[in-house]
Amino acid sequence: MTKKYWGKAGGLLISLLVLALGFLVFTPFLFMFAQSMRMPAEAYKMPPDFFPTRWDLTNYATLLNSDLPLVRMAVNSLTVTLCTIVVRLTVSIMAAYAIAKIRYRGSNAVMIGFLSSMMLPIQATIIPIYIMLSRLGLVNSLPGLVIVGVFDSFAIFMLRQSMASVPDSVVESAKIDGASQLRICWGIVAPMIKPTIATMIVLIFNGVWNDYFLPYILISSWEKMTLPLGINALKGYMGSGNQSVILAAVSFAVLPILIIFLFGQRYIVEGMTSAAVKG
Amino acid sequence: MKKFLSLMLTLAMLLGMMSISMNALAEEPIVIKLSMAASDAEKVSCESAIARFEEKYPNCKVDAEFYAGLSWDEIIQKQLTQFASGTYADVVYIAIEGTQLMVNYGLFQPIDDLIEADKDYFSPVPESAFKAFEVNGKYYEVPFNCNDMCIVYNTKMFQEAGIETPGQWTVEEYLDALGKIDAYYNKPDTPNSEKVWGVVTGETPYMWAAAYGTSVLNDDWTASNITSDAMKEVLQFQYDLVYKYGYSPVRESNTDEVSMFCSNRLATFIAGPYILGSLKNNNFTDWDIAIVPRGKENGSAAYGVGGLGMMTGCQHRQEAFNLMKEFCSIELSMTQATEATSLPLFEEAANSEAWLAQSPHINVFYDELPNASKLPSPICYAELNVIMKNMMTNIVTKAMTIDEAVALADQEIAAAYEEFEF
Amino acid sequence: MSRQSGRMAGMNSRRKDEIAGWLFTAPALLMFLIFVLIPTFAMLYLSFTSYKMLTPPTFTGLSNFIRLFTKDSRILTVSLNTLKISVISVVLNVVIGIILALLITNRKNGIYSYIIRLFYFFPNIVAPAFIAIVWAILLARDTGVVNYYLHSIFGLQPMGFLTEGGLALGSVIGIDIWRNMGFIMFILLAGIRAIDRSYYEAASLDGANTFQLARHITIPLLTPSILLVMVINIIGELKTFDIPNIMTEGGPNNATRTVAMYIYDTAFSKMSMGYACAISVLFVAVIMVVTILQFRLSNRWVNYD
Repeated sequence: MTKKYWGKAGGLLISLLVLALGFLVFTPFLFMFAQSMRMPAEAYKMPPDFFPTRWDLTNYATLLNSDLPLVRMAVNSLTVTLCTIVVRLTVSIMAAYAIAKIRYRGSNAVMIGFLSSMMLPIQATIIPIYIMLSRLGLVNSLPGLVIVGVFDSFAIFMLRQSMASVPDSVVESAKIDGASQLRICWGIVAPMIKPTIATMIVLIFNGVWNDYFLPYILISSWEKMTLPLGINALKGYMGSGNQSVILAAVSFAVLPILIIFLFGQRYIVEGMTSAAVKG
Repeated sequence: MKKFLSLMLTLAMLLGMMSISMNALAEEPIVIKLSMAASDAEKVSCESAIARFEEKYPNCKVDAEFYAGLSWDEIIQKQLTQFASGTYADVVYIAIEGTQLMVNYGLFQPIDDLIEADKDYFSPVPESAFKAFEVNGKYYEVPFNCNDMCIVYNTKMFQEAGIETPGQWTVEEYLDALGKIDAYYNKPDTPNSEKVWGVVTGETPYMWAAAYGTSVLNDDWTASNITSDAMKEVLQFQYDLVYKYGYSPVRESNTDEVSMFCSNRLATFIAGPYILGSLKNNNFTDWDIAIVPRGKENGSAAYGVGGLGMMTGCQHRQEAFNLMKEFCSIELSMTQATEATSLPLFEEAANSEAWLAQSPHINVFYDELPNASKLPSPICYAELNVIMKNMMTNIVTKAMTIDEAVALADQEIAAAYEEFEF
Repeated sequence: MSRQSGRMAGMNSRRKDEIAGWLFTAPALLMFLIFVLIPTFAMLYLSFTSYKMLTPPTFTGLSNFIRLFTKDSRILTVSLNTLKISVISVVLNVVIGIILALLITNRKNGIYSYIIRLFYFFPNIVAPAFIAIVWAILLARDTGVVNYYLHSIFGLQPMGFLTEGGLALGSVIGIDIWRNMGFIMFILLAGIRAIDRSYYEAASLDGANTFQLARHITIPLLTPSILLVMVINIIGELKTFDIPNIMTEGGPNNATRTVAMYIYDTAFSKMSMGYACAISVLFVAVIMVVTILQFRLSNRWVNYD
């Protein structure tokens, strides 16, 4: 479209402009990465670096050598995320299968009930949940964090929609062959909706890894913090946070995501946007 | 529904059985559950205190949980919320800001008798450290880390700008010194991002209020004192630092005084001994300590203390107290002196080579303590802090005039007190 | 006999299926019960009480709600802030997203798409908490990079992006836009690519120029996607917590405090659980209304495509 109006050169110019704007959009990350290479003494020197002038990893070394459990926090984030993905998907796939394929009496009501829970933000229901968890002694514990995130009506909904498009005949013929529902669910239907499952994995990973709210409320000791919470706490304990070191910590947390994104980019973007559209 | 109920019942039974069997197992050793909040530097001294305790009393074990958070208030808030909602521990670290709340919630038990019995053991510790934890005439905590606020100043800057070593200086003399710094390092057209600042206004007005001999609350912390002329004078001083003299930038939520100080962008700032570790981490050595300049004759330093208290449900009082003693001991004080994590409480440690070697005038910290005034720590401490921070922001960002900001703060403090009806 | 046993067998296997169905949904149902139903009822119940956690809740009837609607000055500020953040960032997001999408829909080049995706989509993937930390450093008044460039390039005085009321809220909105515009652009791009080429061919044969093409074909056919994007985005924005909490801690004098933050403060700082639940009930009600609107609207657009 643009080509026809502006001519080839014009179209190219516009594309370049958008690219330049995109670069501007990306600069905060360049800044973050470059500043993390600066020594604390020059943290405030202007103009700032956008590209590292020298590859000085001292700040990173300080972080990893200090008592602060940065690596521990990364491990916590990973553990919580992976456990949540596994448990959430297991529960959701089974429920989605039952609703989409078995279609037992009452399954529609159950689905509607689940869907209605999307209207309840965690920011509101957290109060009774906190009280409940503290009575059970699960506050300030990673299992507690995982348990709260097990139920996900969006996941069940997406999986159900996807399973609904699997022809019933497949299920029927498997039943005739004597397969149990369990076998059909996990052995036949689930593999058929692998793309959806993969998309859900991406979405859940993103949501849990980046989550700040739930850990903020539930976690209060260093060893159990996840990355977003922990790095933020690093910032200001008694005002001894140091700008370059903090940025080094953030870079440390963002780097793995960047690398994953560089490789799986097309897939992640398409997955996330298609999930939004289908929902 | 039935399935759910039966599941719940089974869960309840399982939990019940587990706790019974755990109790049975806990015949020996005696487990003291410790809930501690410490910076990473202090953690070392905490762990050695625990080790000493377990060595002296082999039939006791300590189950320690360390808290952390974004800021001091957040840590206290998280602890309080957890304890109020039912989390249990035997010995809890709570700073003075939260003591009243713990006592009024009935979570702490008085330990007067235990302190009396060990009077001699505690004699080298200044009385003020214990008095901080006095509520309604009873004592509730054993002090652990005491921090009184003094000025940390850049010795090289002071030298270059021709300022003489500060002694018992007044606010006028202080402003004079800052003026010299400004004149020496800044030109009229230096942009803010390159300027060298003298000081940053306080996040809260407590320290300067103490230096002016007044406080944001009345004497027994039951009502606000913020509208008094004395307080208004303090606030005017803060305002002037930014707008009349230009020695201070406008403070923001991520203003990091230590970073600025260590990059030679800030000449002085107020802190307690807890800051020394950060200075070391930044490899910064051109610093020394001075008293907070007095605004009035009866000014003093503000101080806060963190200590260990005993929760009401604690069964093994003497053992728990023995653990608390390890946190207020000569060994711990010596660690505090060498590691410079907070003020060493035992006189011997405060006079030790290790401590005094940190800087020429580090003794100022210990000298200020006997006459220091407690940080206002009423029962609505968390709210008070938010109100004070908002008030200071309103004033230094010119969002409100001092009178307006003060009136609003007064109102909000009254409302905060009302909410805590016991 | 065979038909009978066949039917019986059919019924039995149906029975077995029904049981299997319930068993399969049981874990999800259990979690739903524990983490959705029970907390919702608890929240409703607590909103009618005063609960300070140590002592059991005391029933206070409608007093929490009365206080919420008459004596609480902060709820108004907070709601207004949340509304401003939601509406302004969503509208601007969509506008910017459309423009960007229209500008680059023809670029099919793999490398170009890759770079564009990297630049525009990455802010959406990074945790909001980290974004808040980095931007707080960038926007600092006297030590920040943005002010430095504003001064050196445009000669402007340093602006208190985080310390001046209106500006602080603007900064939060700006960062939200910065974060989301890529996401929106890509959704809209997908929508544009789904439009039948024949429309364009027919129209340009009739002599329509680019702007007319965009105005009369692309945008109208894109409205379903636009609507969808707007509503999804708004519900997410209504729940904003992370960025204002970390960057401005509620901002100069509550200028950047959102409803979610207010609920958190009331519940965990002031420990007034009962009152916090009352606010939550109001919050949930608003979100419910917006969500129902979404379903209604989505019915409409599902119809015509």
